[in-house]
Order: sequence, then C-alpha cells, then structure tokens
Amino acid sequence: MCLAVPAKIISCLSEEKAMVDMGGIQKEISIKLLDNLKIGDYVLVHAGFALTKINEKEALETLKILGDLSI
Amino acid sequence: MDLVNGKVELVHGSGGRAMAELLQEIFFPAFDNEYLRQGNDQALFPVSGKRMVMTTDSHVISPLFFPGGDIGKLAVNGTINDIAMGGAVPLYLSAGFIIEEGFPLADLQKIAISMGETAKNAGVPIVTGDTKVVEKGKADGVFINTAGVGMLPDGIELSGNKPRKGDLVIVSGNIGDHGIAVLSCRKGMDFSTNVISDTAPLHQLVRAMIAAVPGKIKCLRDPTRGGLAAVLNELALQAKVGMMIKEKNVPILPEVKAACDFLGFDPLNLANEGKLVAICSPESSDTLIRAMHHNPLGRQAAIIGEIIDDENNLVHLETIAGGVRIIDWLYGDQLPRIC
Amino acid sequence: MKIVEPYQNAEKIKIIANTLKKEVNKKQIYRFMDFCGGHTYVLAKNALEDLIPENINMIHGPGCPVCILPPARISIAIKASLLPNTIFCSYGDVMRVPDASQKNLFFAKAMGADIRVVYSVLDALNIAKANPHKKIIFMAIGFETTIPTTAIAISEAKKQNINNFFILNNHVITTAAMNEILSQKIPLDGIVAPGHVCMVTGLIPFNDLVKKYKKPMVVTGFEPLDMMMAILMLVRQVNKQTALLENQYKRAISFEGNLKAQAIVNEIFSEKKDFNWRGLGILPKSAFALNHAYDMYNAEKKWELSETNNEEPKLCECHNIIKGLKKPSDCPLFGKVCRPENPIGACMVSGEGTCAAYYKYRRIK
Repeated sequence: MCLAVPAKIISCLSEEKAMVDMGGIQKEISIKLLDNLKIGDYVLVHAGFALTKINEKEALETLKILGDLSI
Repeated sequence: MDLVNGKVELVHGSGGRAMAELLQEIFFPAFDNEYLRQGNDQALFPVSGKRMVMTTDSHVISPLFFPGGDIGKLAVNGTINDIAMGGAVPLYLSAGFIIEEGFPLADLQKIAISMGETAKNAGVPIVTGDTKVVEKGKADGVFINTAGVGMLPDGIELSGNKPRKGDLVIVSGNIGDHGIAVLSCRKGMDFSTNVISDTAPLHQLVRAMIAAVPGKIKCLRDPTRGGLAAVLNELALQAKVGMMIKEKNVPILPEVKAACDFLGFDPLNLANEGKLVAICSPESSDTLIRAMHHNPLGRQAAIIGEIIDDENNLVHLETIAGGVRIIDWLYGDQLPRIC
Repeated sequence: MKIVEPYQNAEKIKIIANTLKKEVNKKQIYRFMDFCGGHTYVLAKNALEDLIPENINMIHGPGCPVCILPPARISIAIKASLLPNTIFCSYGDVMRVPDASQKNLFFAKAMGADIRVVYSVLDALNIAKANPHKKIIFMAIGFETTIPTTAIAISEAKKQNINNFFILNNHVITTAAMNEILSQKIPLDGIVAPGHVCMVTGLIPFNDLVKKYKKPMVVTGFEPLDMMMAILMLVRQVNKQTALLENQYKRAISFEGNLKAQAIVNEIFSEKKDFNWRGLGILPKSAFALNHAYDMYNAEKKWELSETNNEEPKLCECHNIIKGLKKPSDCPLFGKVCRPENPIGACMVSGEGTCAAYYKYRRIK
C-alpha cells in the first residue's frame, strides 16, 4: 500500500532536508519526521519523506534464520 | 471506442492498447491500402523494380533537452531506426517543424545543429523540410516531424510474423535508460542520476547483424514508447506465438532499476531510443551475439528468452525468484505512485 | 544496496520455499491474507505463489488507499479540479480511479482542469508558493504511512503563511479496516500485516487486533524474501496453534513506531466519526478529519463540495474481492469490460489493486 524505498543519507542540507542516494539516484528528501540522522544512515523514504531509520544490525539478524534452514 | 461522444485522451498517444484501438477504428479504415496493411513501422513498396521503404514519426517531448540528447537528435535517430528495423538502408530524411510563438531562437538553432550533426554522422542527410509557427499556447515549444526513405537490399526479408517456436529473443543492450534520463529532468521529478538517453542510430548495427547471420534474423523492432513489454507483446501477437523471457537475463542498469523502485515504475515499460529487439534462429544466435558485441551500440546485447507455443500469445516472464508471470502491455503512461 | 540485496536473493528465497514444503501439514489448508496492496504486488510481480505449497492460499486484502476510495470522493475531486483559477495536485495513483459515471481525473484534465501529478505533498506546497494567485488543492490520500506527510505540509503552510494551499482529505486508518475484516468471520488462518504502516504506528495497534481476534499476524517488509519469511512464520504459528504478533521487519520497525510522526498527525488530525470505504461500506473511526483549528486548509469546507452519487458499479465484485471472499476471476467484468485501461471497479485501477495485479501478472491462472 505504501511504497517506501531504502536510501542512504549522503548529505544533510539543513535541519529539514537531506540528500539521499537510492542505488545511484540522488534526491532531496524531507527529514522533518526523523531526528538525529547522520551521513551514512539508511532510511526508508515514502512520498519524499524519511519515515524510519533502517537498523543494519537487525537487517543481518533477520537473515540468520536462514542459516538454521537447510536446502 | 465511443466515436460519437468520445474525446482524444493522452492515453491514445502513449503507444499502448488505446492507441492500437485508435488506429484500428479511425486511421486504418480511412486510409486502407495494401502497403498500410503490412502493419509495420515502415511501409515497403516497389519502385522501378527495386524495393523502397518509407516511414514518418512526429516528436513531442518535454523537456526538449535532456541528458544524452534533445528533441532534434531523437527525431533524426527515430526515423533512421524505423527504416533500419525493416532491414533497409536509410537514405534521405525530411524535417517538419511546428514552433510556438515566442520560442527562443537560440534553442531552435541548438536543435537544428544537433539534428544536422546527427544526420551527418549517420550518413543520412536531411534533404527537405517545412516550418510553421503557431500562436503562443497552441504548441509546447517545438514539435518535430521527420520522414525518411531507404532501400531494402535484395534477399532481406524481415517480418514480425516470422518468429517460430525455439527462436531466441535478443535485446541489444540495457533497457530503460532513455525513459529515466528524460524523467530525471522533467519538472516536478527532481532527482539526479548519471543515466543518459541511449538515443542512437541503429542502421550500422543492423547492417553488421544481417551480414553476420544472413537470412537467420526473423525480425527486428525498436522498443521505443511502451518499452520492451509493448514490443514483445506486439511481436507475439503478430507471429501468433508466445514467449518465455528470463528476468535475470534482461540487461538493466542498477540506476534505472533504482529509479523505477522509488517511482513505482516497471523498467519493461520504459522507452528506449537506441535499442533493438531481434528474433533469431537458435543455431545462429551465438554468432549474432558475438557480432553485436563488436559494435559499440550492441556491447551489452543479451539473449533474454525464447519463442514458445502459446495459443493466447502471451509473453511470460520467469522471475528472478523462480516463478512465472506474464508481461503485459502498458495501458497508458506510467505515473509515479506512492502506494 | 547491501541491506536490500540479500532480501531479493533467489537462493535464499528457494531455501524458504523448500522449508515451507517440508513444514506444511499437507492435510491442512492455510488461508493467509496479505492485507496490504504492496504485498499483493510483491507476490504478483515476483510470481511467489508459484513457489509456495498449493495448500497455502493467499487472499489479497483491502490495503490500498486508492482502491477503497468510494466513487463520490472522485466526483468531488473532479469538481474541485474544475474550480476556477485552480491547480489540482494528485499522486499518480488517483488519476485513473473512476467515479460512479466512469469519469476520472484524466477526464477533468481533458475538460481543461490544470492537474499536476506530484511525487510528494511538498511538491504541491512548492507549487502553491510559486503560484500565489492560484489556489492549490492537494488530493490527500493514504494510510497511516502517508498521513504524517500531509500533516507536515499543513503545519508548514501555517508556519509560512501559505494561504492558497488546501487539501481534499481522504486519509484512512488501516486498523479500522483490518478490524472489520476480522470481525466478519471470514475464514482466515493468519495475516501478513502492512510493514510500512507499522513504521509509523508501531506494533501496538496491530497487537491489540491479535489479542482481540486470536489470529497469527506477521508484520513484514516488501522484498520477496520478506514475504516468503512471513509466510513461513505464519505456517509455524498455525502448526503450533499460537496467535502472536511477530515482527519480521525489525530492520525498519520499532515497537513504538515513529513518535514524531504520530505527534504531528495528532496535532493536525483527529479520528473521524466514520468513512465510507469502497467495498467495505461505512466503517466507524476509520478515517482522519482535519482538526477545526485547521479548517482553513479544508477544500471541502471552503467550497462546499458535497458528495453526490456514490453508487458502486453493478456486477462489480470489488467489495468481495477486497475482503478476500472472491478472486478476480470470479467477477463477470474482470478482463472483459473491466481492464486497466477501462477500470470499472477500483481494484483494477491502482497497479497494486488485486484485479490489476492479477490482470497484469497472472492472467494465465
């Protein structure tokens, strides 16, 4: 229902705006809905807004379940 | 189609099914003749014992200048490619301009120079033209129509009804570059990328391909408006076959894929202006791919699938995940979506 | 992107597919609803249903904020777009949604309305700034994920004194619809819950539903591997006869959600008495209304745009399809009169509408 794509913060333009990279596409987005973002953070972007910070540790953790499964 | 009360909508010009309906119901009956009935991007007719092809194409694009090209370059290459897809050698072009009052002369000159250079480099001169100016607001900057003629060498017979089961489907390079390059500088989109339009004349590539595997190429198409999805579906219908395409073999730049992800687009529906699709007998495909890789415009050429039997003439896609779905036509321009 | 690619990896997807095959109880039918249109799209686009055992039935729910817009809301949008001196801004999703007389915003455009497709509500706000002598009406649609973005735009309009920006509000609440589905006793064994809604709301509203209806639920992401993992987690819950809320999408979702987003929404909007959902009917507390302090941004109040004909097309099975009671192929209109270029029901309009996804990707089945 709600298209949101992962993006990496490449520069913070102000308190409200940041430039992100989405797999080779750069776009200015609003960061008004998140606090404490820094360059290098991954966020999910929906309709021009960063809505959540992606937790890289959890991203790897979730994949661990696969290690317990055999083909 | 409601011919009594209906109105022309943008979707009628977007190269999808709505446009096909418009042609079937309005233009084909009104113009009907044996050459038009061939139903190809170019008409083939005899002139003094030789075979000549002719085509025409109007160009309307916003913005007029985009990374990798401009409306003029597009107009020249588009018509050269329509001739080349029939296997013919493009010879001469015409150019017609409809210009909006107030359009900057500097921009017009920039477009004209770009067209001249493109035509010269391709070896296909613009030999005649026409200019009209309309009141401000009656056009969007400039519209360009180009027409072209070419000769079809003896022995070359390409047609969309020739593909048969087992033939392979080849694409000459990364798809969707043009669509994303143009979108990236369209007002309101505001994203930046290194992707540039692939606009290029394909007649030299076609010549090299035909020379490499004489008689083995069944047909050629350029996946412009409507993208790869539209061309594959058109060919499946025309040849009364199905196709099985492998998603992992379709060459797409990661940036194009990323742009599609955030806009909610499908790269298979994006326009290309310097790519072709070839259907070829399986035994010659390796030779053909090698020949294409030798040409700068075919360096990323790849076999993306094969022709199969399918009474419904559907184009199937084996997804990267391993399932099978169909590739449908575009039914209008793609719109950025949030859900 | 290293945090995404593993979740698209075919080998990993195959591991889950094989595990599913081993772990399903062959005598049982598993009926899971992927509530969210985005999940329907992931299933269809990647053809994942080919990879899961046949006794797992995926039912595609009403989670598309475009599909559930009743026809009258589109009539109002058309009316608003044709007001004098107006620029009407909309997300691309809404452009082709038909009203009761099969008219849509493209029709309004052909009638002369100045309609701009925008990617973000902030684009609409910028259009308002650049055109101070025109009124800019923004078609605000979306679930909890999108509502904060509209809220930000309104708070900015107020802060910056932008007086020519208005919204046509159609913001709706996911959990209200999920509550409706679960209360109807539709046979369901588990729910794939909408990950991107949860990144704003957090898990509490969904956990409440799990407790109330005792159905297994997994909040999940939108890559193919996410979806396969969620199905496996649901199968395991069913096999163990548990009914828990599990979070497969921990990389994006925290328990409490985005508090800042929740706060701005609560400042600008409050729950509305009810809203008429296409297909589901009138659901209590299922939408957001602008708080009175922000009435000046409400296009409907400003121009007294009233709802007209709200009749849904006859024969159209959308109302059963979005509840998962019927498949698109059960609808007499599907693929015949109702096609993406001529959508009759709303499920055909959006790319992630159940019917559109079926038509586009799975017409053979």
